[in-house]
Amino acid sequence: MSKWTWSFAPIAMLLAATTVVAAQQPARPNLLQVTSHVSAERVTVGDRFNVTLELAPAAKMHVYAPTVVNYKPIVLTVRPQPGLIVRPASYPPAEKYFYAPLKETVDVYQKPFQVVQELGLDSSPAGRAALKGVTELTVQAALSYQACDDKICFPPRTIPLTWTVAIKES
Amino acid sequence: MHAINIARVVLGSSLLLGGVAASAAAQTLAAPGEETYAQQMAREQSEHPTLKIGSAAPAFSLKGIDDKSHTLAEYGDAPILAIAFISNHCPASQLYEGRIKQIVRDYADKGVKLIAIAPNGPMAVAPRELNYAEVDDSFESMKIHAEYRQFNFPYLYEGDTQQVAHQYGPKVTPHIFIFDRERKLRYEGRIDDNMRGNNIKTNDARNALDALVAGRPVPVEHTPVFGCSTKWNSAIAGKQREMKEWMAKPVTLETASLDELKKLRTNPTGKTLMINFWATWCGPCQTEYPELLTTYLWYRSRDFEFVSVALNTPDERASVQKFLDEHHSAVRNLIIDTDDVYAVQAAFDAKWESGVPFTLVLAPDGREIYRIEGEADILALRRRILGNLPDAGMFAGNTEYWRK
Repeated sequence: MSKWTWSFAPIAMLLAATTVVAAQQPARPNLLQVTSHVSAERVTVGDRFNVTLELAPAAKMHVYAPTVVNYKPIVLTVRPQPGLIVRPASYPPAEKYFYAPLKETVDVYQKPFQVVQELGLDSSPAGRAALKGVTELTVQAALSYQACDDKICFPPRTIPLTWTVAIKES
Repeated sequence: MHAINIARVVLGSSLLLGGVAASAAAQTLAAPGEETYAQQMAREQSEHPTLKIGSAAPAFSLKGIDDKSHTLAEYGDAPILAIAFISNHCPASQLYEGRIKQIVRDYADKGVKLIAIAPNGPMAVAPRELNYAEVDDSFESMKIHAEYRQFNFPYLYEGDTQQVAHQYGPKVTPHIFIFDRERKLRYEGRIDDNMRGNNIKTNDARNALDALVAGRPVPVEHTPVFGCSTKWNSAIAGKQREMKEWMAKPVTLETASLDELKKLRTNPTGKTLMINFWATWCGPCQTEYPELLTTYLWYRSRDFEFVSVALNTPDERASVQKFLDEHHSAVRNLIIDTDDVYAVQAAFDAKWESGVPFTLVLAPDGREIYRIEGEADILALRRRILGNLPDAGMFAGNTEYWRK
């Protein structure tokens, strides 16, 4: 199992190549610490595996849960590609945050939480065809979120994520 | 703009203030079918006549900013009782706060007790009449204002029923009434003859107090007053008229390029400019925004502008317009023309970390007066603005008052 940690810049996580790429961005505060790990280092066609994001909002900050309306929810989006099965990401139950000035209760995450993305290598004929001769697969994803505390909000951010898994011959 | 301010000042007798005659002010304010300023003053004096010299002090039981009830009787031990009618919002009244506090200090050992009563009905004060104020005239605001200015005297609220105010009949704030041991009115009028503290020729209230302390006749029992007219709850037409005019203004939304934002940062308005970056996805922005609009409503009669900038992306324009409509944001509203908020950050202000709300107040020369990333302390914001808006001579010293 490999593990990567970073906190703000768009990055790529490469399981196999162990490379982290930070894009050029203006300085801005750390809002959400992101760590990820993959359940298997090598997979075979037909296997399922998970990518788990360990997410920790900065002190006093919260990010919005997928169930919110009128705010920007956290969303993990995996780019589809031939041979890759992408299941819906799994988010934990939200915490209820009561924002007194507006007298509204909002679904958020304030404490460290996990988002689990189940993936698989497609064993259908089309999937096998797509993966034929492929020794590693690069999964591209994006994590979008928006963070606030009770006095300030920061614009929505999107972090590009990349994992590369080795493919064993079946 | 100045006509409104001038018209708010009651000019007692033939007194001139700032070279402007009462009649001029009256003529400026009067609209077809509406009573003139002079007519208003005459009507109010008829409806709420000022207590006559020699009259007994009307009894009262009023709530003070200490949340306790205060009565005339509780000051019965004081040989001399001075009752000053003052208000939070009135710039003239504000300029006299320091002098009132000094009277309290100077006469504390001479048997003089001074209390202040705020006679105004908060709902009768029009937004434009709050153009020198950090708070309105409500009871809770009295607490804020008194604490900020460190009042050293009881401050009582009389804005709901105004029955006590009606019995005393203060024409303006400030208007002081001084009673002797038998609680007979011995002096009524101004505190001194000049709002500008360094131009005072006659300390009328002090002269009266000195005479009473010495057991002598009060040399001048009545003086004309100047200040802001008492706001009677029965007369809210001015406020209604102003709000109607405000609500008739359209709420527009312009698209702004990065170059336009750069230009905005230089403050091309020639006025004091408040810029607020906000977004629909920002709770603190939504909390703060009405207070900023109120601030603009209060100060817009002075050289003050407000520009709002939505940090939403162009495809969210409809939700931005909806929010602005709901709050009737009839100011210059902008939305950025890019989804790259960090480009906005870089173009507008390199020190800005792109958090919203972000509020910046710029002097006419572009100098930064106030800056906050995050929800503003609205009182601190207003005080900073007031401490930088020119007082235009009308209330000379008021700008300095807000800098103390």
